[in-house]
Amino acid sequence: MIIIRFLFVILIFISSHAGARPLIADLSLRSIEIDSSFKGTEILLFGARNDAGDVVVVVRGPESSYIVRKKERVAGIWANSKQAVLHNVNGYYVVASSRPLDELRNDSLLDSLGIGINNLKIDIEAKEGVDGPEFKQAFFDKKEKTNLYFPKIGNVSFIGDTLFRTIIRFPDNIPRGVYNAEVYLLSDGQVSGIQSTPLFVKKMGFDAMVFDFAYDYPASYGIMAVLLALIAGWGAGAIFRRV
Amino acid sequence: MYIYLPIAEISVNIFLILSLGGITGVLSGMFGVGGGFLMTPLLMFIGIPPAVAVSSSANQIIAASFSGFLAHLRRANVDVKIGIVTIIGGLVGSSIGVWLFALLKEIGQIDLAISLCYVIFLGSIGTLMAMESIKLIILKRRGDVLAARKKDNWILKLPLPFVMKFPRSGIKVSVLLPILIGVFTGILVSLLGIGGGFITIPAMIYVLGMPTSVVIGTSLFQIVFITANVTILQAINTHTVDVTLAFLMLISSVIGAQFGTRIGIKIPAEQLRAMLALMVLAVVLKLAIGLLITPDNPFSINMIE
Repeated sequence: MIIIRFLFVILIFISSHAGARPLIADLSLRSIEIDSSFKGTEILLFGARNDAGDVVVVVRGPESSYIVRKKERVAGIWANSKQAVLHNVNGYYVVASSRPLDELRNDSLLDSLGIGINNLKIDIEAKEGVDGPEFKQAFFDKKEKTNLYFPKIGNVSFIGDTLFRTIIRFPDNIPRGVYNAEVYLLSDGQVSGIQSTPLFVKKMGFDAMVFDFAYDYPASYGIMAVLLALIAGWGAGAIFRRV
Repeated sequence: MYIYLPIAEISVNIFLILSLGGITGVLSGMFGVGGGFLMTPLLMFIGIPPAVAVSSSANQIIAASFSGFLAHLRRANVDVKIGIVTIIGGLVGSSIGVWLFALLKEIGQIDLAISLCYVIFLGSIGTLMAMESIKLIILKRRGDVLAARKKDNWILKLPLPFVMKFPRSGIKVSVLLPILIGVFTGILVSLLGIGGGFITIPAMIYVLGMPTSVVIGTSLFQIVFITANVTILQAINTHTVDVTLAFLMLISSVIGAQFGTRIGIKIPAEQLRAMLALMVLAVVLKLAIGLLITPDNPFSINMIE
């Protein structure tokens, strides 16, 4: 917390002297390292505004494609039948705002900035007869259930007129990759200030090593798995022969 | 205490995995079977993705079979020549199996395929075993003399080409038969994560006419190579081998097997078989129910690389 206070002091200093920038913000942590004991974390996003207006914060996780499959009863058995592929989807997505989004009364702006789950630009690739939006909703439901998407808009609180802060929660199952924390200052239906800060989520430790090894060098990984089992089998035989 | 499985990508209770491995080990020691057919479904029941359960089981079987194989090798109970011929078939079978596995995984049907294969395959084996052991128990209660099983060698009388001499077993058979056994084992290992000993051992005795003394050692010999091949192919093609999971399973099952062997001696063989059959049928029933009941959430989501 001392560091955060220190940063606040710097911010106040910057905001009073470098008045040219309407918005300035930073994160209490620039990278998250996930190891096997990782139980999720919180990051403080803080900053200062030099103009009046609403502050909206969006944090987006790395984009990837997902395949969503739906089980249906086929000859009495539940089997995956229909499917849709969602492209350019953030693995993590959270919004915080100093005012409820509907009070901003600027849906077209929010839509063009991709703020709010309903304004996300997601390409749905689905065959005819497949209800694309249903699969997108199923995807959102799953993400909300695993705390990677937050349907509730978080709160950006002000300290005085200039300083603001919000806490962003990261659960233990966050995907790794480059995240982006975007801060917008909106006034009179326009973006009067914007700042974007990258956040790196890395996996560390033994599990990440095994995972990378398995995907980067699959043949060596397979051979190693075999050797490990052979050694264990031989070792077990040798030990129990003496018992 | 929880441990994160890097390939399955879930956290599991380490003691749950160890006790599952231990129980399978005890049972495999008692019944003299590999235990893969219990281990894989049990892993699926606790939430390990079926594909990872199958491939990691194949990895784990290497250890158990290798330690058994070494013991038989010391007593020279291995027909290496017939083993090598079987392995050639096994390499073909496991390549077919892993190719099919990768294809099913891509179209999103691998979980269903694994469950269905288990229900059909284990269901028929379990039923046959249950019927036979119940018959034996009833016969024994009545005090009848058990009729010796007839050696049904009609397959050996078929005019098959490529006949080869196997001096260790003292038999002359067409190489196509052990190759076929190998192909079948390879497919079983890659799709079900089981060693298939309870198919290959009877096949070697009744189809090839091998002497019982070398059958178990030879079967273990070929299973070591086939499971090794499946592990490497699955690692390359489907990324479903979880070494952490396999390692936890193998240490606990090896220890369990030591206890199992001691328990097994005290129970009559036909009762052991009946118990085994019931267990197989219970697993089949649980899997079948899983296929039939309405899922809580019909949707599943997978990230594409």
